[in-house]
Parts: sequence; C-alpha cells; structure tokens
Amino acid sequence: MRFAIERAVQQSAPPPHEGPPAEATGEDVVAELFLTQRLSLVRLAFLLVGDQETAEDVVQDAFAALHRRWSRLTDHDRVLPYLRASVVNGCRMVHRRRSIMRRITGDRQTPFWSAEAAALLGETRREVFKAVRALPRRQREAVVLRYYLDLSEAEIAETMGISRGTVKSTVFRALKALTVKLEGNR
Amino acid sequence: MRPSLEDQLRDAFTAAAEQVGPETLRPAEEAVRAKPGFLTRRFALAVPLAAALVVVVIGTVTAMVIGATTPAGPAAYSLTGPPFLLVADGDGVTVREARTGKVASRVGLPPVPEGSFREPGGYLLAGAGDGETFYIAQSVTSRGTQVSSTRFYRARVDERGRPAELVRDVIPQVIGTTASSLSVTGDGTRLAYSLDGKVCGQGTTVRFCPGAQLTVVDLPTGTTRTWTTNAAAQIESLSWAADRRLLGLVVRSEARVLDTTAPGATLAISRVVAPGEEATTSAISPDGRSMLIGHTQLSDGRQPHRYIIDEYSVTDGRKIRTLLSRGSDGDVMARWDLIRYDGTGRHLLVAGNFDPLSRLDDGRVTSLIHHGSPDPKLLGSPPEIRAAW
Repeated sequence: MRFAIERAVQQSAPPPHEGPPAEATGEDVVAELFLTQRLSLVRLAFLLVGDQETAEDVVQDAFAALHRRWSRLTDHDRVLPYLRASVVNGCRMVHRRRSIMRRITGDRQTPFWSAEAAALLGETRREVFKAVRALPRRQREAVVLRYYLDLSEAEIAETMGISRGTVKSTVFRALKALTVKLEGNR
Repeated sequence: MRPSLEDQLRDAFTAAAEQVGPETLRPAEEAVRAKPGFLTRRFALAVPLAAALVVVVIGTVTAMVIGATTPAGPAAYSLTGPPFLLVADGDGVTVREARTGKVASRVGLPPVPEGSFREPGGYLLAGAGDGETFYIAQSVTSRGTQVSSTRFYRARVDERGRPAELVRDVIPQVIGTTASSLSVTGDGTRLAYSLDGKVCGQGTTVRFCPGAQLTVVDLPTGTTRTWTTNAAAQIESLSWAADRRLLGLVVRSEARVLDTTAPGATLAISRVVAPGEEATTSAISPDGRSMLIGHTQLSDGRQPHRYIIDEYSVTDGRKIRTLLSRGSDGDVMARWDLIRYDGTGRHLLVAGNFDPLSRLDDGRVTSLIHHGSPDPKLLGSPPEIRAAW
C-alpha cells in the first residue's frame, strides 16, 4: 500500500479530479483515490464519529480493505461508492465499540466534539449539530450524506445499503425531527 | 430571515468538516496505528490470553510478509515537484533545494545601487514553475529624487542548483515608481509586473499620482501592454494561468482575474473572484479554473483570529474548500503573504508573516525556511521572505 502511494506521488499523474486511466493497475487506482479522496472521506467520517484520529483510522481501514479486495471487486468503476459505504460501515463499528466499552466500563459517554472544536463551531452550528447527534443512527447518516456530500437518493441508498424509498422517508423523518427540535430550542 | 433547515445543515456540516484541514492529516506513509481504540482499560484485561497469542502470531506473520514485499530504504515521504526554489531574504538571493530549503547556491547579482528599497533587498521573484527558470526584479529608490529604477534579470539553474545563466536587463530598465509584484508564464514567454502609483507630467514637472500600473511584456517580441487603476493601492500577487491569458492579482484587497486578451486599458475589465473576502494574497491555478485566496477572519471575541487559504472557483466565485487555516492570538495580525503554484498545480509554496516558508504537497505541509527574528526596535512581523519556483 505504501509503495503504491509513493509511486503515485512520484509520477506526474493526471489532475486529481480526473478519473484514473483505463489501463491503470489496481494499485495505481487505489493510490490515486487515496491522494484525491482521502480528505473528503476523513471529513465524512469525522462528522459521523466526532474525532479526527478515529476518522483517519476508519478511512485507512477502508482503503486497506479496498486494496485487499481489489481482485474480487466486480465493477472497478464504482470504487468511490464502495469506499463511502466502507467508511460509513466503519463508523458504525466505532459506535458499536464505544457502546460496548461504555457498558463494560460504566464510563459516561464522552463528548462528541473536543472543547476546541465545539468552540470553533459557534453556538448556532453547535445547536444544529446537537440536534443531528440526537437523531437515530440511520437518520444521522442519511442527513450527513445528503447535506454534506450532496449525494442523490440513489447514491445514499447505495452507500447505506438501503432502498431509495427508505432513504426518502429517512431523510424526511430526520428533517421533521430536526425542525421540531430546533424550533423548540428557540 | 432565518436560513432554511437544509442550508443550516449544509453550513454546520461544512464548518465542522473544515476543522479537518489537509495539513492536519497524518502523513500518508504512517500506515500503522499505535493502538486500536477498543483495547483499553478493563476491556483489554478481559481479552483472553489465547486471543492475544493469536494476534501475536498473525502480527508476526503479517510483518514478515510485509517486510518481504515493502521496498527497502528509508521511509521518507517522496516530495516531487520542482527541484529548486529561488529565495530572497536577509541573506540576499539564493537557490534552495525545494525538498529541504537548504542553500544550493547563491545568485551573484550586481551590488545594490545607492538608495532605499523594500525589504528584502528590493527583490521581487518569479519562476516558470519548473524550479529552473526564474526572473528577478529589483527596485531601488533614489533618496534624492525619490524616483525608483527597476532592473529585470533572468536566472537559470542547472541540475545541481548552480547558476547556469544570469541575464541582466531582459527587458529595459523601468524608471518611475517601485515594482510591487512579478510573475512569468510557465513557458517563460510573458512577464507581468506591477508598479506603485503613476508618474504624471514630464521633465521638471514630474510628479506621482495615485493609482497603480500593470504591464505585460511579450518577451520574444518585446511588445508590451499596460493596464492602470486609480485605486490608491498596490497591485500584488500576480500569477499566470498556463493558458498565458488569465492573470490573477490582488488590488485593494480584492482577488481578481484579468483576461489579458480582452479590450480595455484599465483594471476595471478584471473580475473579482470572491466578492467580500479581504484578500492578502492569491494565486490562480495553472488550469485557470480556481484561485487560492489568503485572507484573515477576525475574532468575534470568543475565538482567535484565523488566517485562512481558501480555494474558490474562478468561474462562479463559489468556495470550493479550505486549504489551510491557522489560529492567531498575537498582537500583530497574522496573514498569508505568499502562495505560489508550481507548473503542474500539484505543489504549493506558502508563507505567512508568522508562518515559515513551506511547501504543501497532497495535504502535507513541509516547513522549509523560518523567518529571522524581528528587529527588537521595530514592532511588527518578522522579516519577509520572498520565494518562487
């Protein structure tokens, strides 16, 4: 993996937002995606898990899994949706682990944001985030994918592994709940 | 009017996500995590010994496999891009290794004529983006007449960073006001420079009027074209797109784009890229589609000042992303004052008045040259560094 990344850095590769060339090898494609998509995926994971270190771990695991399973992937043109789905799944795993840890250790839930991060967000955005955090897991994922990544219903469905109809109803319920919550706070 | 819930969500998500800056990501080669997050506290004590043994065995085997397939040698991050930089600071003009900032050679420019100049040394630098071909302008102001003379040099360096060529007066010397910015196209055929103010009158009636002037010189033919502005400000941060047509600039704290083929002789024909943003510096990308703009976000009393480099779309002025963001709580306002793309657009040089000259590659920031200590007699920022590649 590291070898592939370094090789991609050394090449005078095509511009970051262009797709990988058709004849590119799996390593080249993964390396190119790592260079161009890592930041946005870490940010997505950060919004879902709340701390950067864990978010980077989740994304790293997603890339490692992609690299490992490359030969078994049937559609190499759909790698980015696969990575997104992998990151969302990784974030779910993090929440499960945290939940298990809390049950075992009896610790209270740790704050989602660090104090510094919360201060930087400002009061209004903190309020919005608090309301989003209170949503059920599926609704929370759907609104982040919809309003952070601006994904379509079909893309959200693919990422979350649910139907488009479920995405529509999930986002609708999430917005309704957020409206009630935020209006109630004002 | 309160924004819609959708807009509030977009705003909150974007603001939160931008807390993860590219410069804060761990280096790409650090593939091994120090500790899995769930193996902590009492849970770790409950892990059966057998499972631990399995982990050790698997880890050993994996390490052996990885060790067999990973290329040997140091694990240093491979910095590509232009091999050399040209830097002007308190030590004069030097060629530096672009990976480390170490001095490779010194450019032997003629002695500075008698007069005053802006630090460092009155030099302005521009590079073709390949790390080999550079242009240098030096403005010196006569203490007696207050008239400035600006000379232009071209320097080329060889593969070891030693000067291979130094041509004086590549364009005729400019007499009048001080030059404030310099940029050359990637193919080295068009040179843009700006001058403070305008010279009015002739002979004994010569005087300085408000406004500034931008000149583009077609180097093979020697033809020039000039634009003026009546703004009482300098034209700064000149940067060319690779098409040799679009020129980025900052004037009156506005980042603008000028189509140098469009009719008109004033900068009124240029277009503001991000209205409302007070730019301290900018750089247009080689493909001409986006512009990096350095600006400062003032504190609201609860948060520190932030100085930020944002990327904007040249086409529609939309903010694309935040590239760098720093907090500042000092007495002197921090700002970005240098952003330079290389010829490919994949590597950046950045510097702030409190940030060292650094390069940015794939989100990784490498500090190259730190500012010298500020003169204790003078309040303000440390000495400025100018650089180009």
